[in-house]
Amino acid sequence: MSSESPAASPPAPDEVPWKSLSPRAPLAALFPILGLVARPLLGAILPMFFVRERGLPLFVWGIILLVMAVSVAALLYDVATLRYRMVGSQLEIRSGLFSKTSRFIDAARVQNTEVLQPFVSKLLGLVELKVETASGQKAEGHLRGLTPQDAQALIDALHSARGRNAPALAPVSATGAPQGEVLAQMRLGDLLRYGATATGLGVLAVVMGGIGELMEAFHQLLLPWMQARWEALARPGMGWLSAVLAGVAGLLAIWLVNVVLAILRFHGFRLVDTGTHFRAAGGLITRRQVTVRRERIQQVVLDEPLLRRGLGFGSVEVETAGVRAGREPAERAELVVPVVPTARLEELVRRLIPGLPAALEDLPLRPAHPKALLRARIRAVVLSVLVAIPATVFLWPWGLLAWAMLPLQLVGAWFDWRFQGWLVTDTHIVVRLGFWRRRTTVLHRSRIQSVKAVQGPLERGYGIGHVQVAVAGAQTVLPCVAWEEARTLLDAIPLPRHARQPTQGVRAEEAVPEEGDVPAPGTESPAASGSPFRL
Amino acid sequence: MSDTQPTLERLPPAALTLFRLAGLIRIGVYGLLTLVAGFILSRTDVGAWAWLLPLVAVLLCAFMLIWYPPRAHQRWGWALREHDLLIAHGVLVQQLVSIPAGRIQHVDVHQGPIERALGLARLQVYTASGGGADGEIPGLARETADALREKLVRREAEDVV
Repeated sequence: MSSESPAASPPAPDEVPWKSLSPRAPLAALFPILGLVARPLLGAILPMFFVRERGLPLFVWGIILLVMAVSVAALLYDVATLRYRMVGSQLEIRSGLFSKTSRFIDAARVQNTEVLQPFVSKLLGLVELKVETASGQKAEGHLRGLTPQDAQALIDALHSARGRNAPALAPVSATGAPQGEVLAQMRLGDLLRYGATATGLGVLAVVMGGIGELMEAFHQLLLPWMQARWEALARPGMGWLSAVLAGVAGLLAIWLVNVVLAILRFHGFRLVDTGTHFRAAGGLITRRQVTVRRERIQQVVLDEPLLRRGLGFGSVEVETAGVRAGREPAERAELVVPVVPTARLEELVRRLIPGLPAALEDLPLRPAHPKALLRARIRAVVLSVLVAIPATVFLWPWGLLAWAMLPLQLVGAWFDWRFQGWLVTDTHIVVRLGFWRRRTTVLHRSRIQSVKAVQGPLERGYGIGHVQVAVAGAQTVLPCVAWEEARTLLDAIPLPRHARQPTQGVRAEEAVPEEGDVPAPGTESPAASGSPFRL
Repeated sequence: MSDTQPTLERLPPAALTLFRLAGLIRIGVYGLLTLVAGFILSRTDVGAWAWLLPLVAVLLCAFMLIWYPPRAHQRWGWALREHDLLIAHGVLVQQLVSIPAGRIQHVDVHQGPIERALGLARLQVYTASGGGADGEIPGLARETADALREKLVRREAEDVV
């Protein structure tokens, strides 16, 4: 697909030929589709696996498999009949033969493009292209089974439909020197550090599942051996030793899973600044290449848990309006730079979201309201008591240990309260939350979609409240402030409309300048005019 | 706030009827669900004590039916200002939502059967933030909802996501 100039008169839709996916596309899509169909059924199939002979009768399995086969066939048929073309500034995707579905995506609405190369696609020499807008939880356009050349041509066509001539990104299969300045590059050592310091419920779930399977092997193989040597194992002190060893083994298993996941996701990761875009590529089995337009960045989050701070690095998450699903914030972020040395965090944040008046560490962040500490302590006590009482009743006498949570929670509440802060500058909002898992969010005030002041019953008793700021695809909660101030911030935080409007002759999406990001000349934000929240 | 404490438009009296009817329906739904749960539990060792479950649920819902609607009706309010749409609501958790002008992507007006009978409508305001409506005003008079929708969608969109 060749580049189209927006200045030329757009061709009539009938004149624009359709393009189809590669003939190998159904083969490349087979495994993802199998996963897509099987995943909803896993919840029903897994329990059957564990109950073994008491499971479903054979004919029910037959029906399940038949439904799966029909679903897979229908989806593969959809891939085989998919056509696409660029008509003027719109990408049109059509699929289905008897029941046709047409989707139109305006190039101006595209937030990001993402090129994926899963393992099977890599074997077949194909890629997947995702075209994301701000409209939903998944990519608006998902083309599986394109050749790298066709994917590149389509991205370039989308790019030039927006009135730019420079290519948006290099083809996935391209090798050699990167087109732009390399901002971050990961080595194996970096990924080992990242994986070893990662936390996540997903990882815990995988480990617990693994332990569940191992327990069965334990009962069949290890338990008879232990019973034969029971006297030696039951010597005083061996119980504690076993418990410590089991704990260490569990931690090692979690770390190992984290490291493997980090390597799978970020192997060969490289972040490049092309001038107009940030391009990140990486991944061992599935290679993922994300292109984020500079002016589409909504907010940047610095994730610095205590362990990573101690080891001298943090992670950077970049959010755009392309909404992604996921349990962890890092999964929801559009672009994640896993390891950034602490000394370079500042530079990277300035590059991604320019215009902060001072270095992040030097910003005079405002503390949370003093009464927020009381609220945090009450929450810590309630949470501890709710866990400790059932533990004491049902696990007596060892359940008494659960009461140790109370002082720990109280200390944790103080640390979290003491080290949080927020600041509204002329152009940005900076929010820092958490001590153990410190997360610093930086967002541009011109990106704000809505602001909400919320006051719960407990907060009402103390005369405090909190403010939620929504940008496209993400939300940030400021630390507690006095309720009156929260109400004031509703008006003060979003940049006034005249300051957000693009100047004459400037395209809407270029309204936010790339460097120095300040309100338009002659305008003054409430912060600049000395409103009460400004520091 | 800049125009300190703006005068909020309040919901019409018919909205209170809507909230009460919604409360009645809630009693019916929760009553039925807990009745089924109570029936199943009564067949176990719990015995006749299980019937306390629907009783408590219905009593709680009845209390909420008396206590909640007037307060909710009193708390709901909205103001269309130069720079934003302001919506206030909440009895236990109070909320003030400000949606800047020009950020509104689309506005929906819903009318269920009860709302239609009462001549009311529910207005939902969406921005690009994702995850559902950013602002919602239930129990507006249909004419008010239409007029408000017209004013909101006619405002110049900035299209800066």
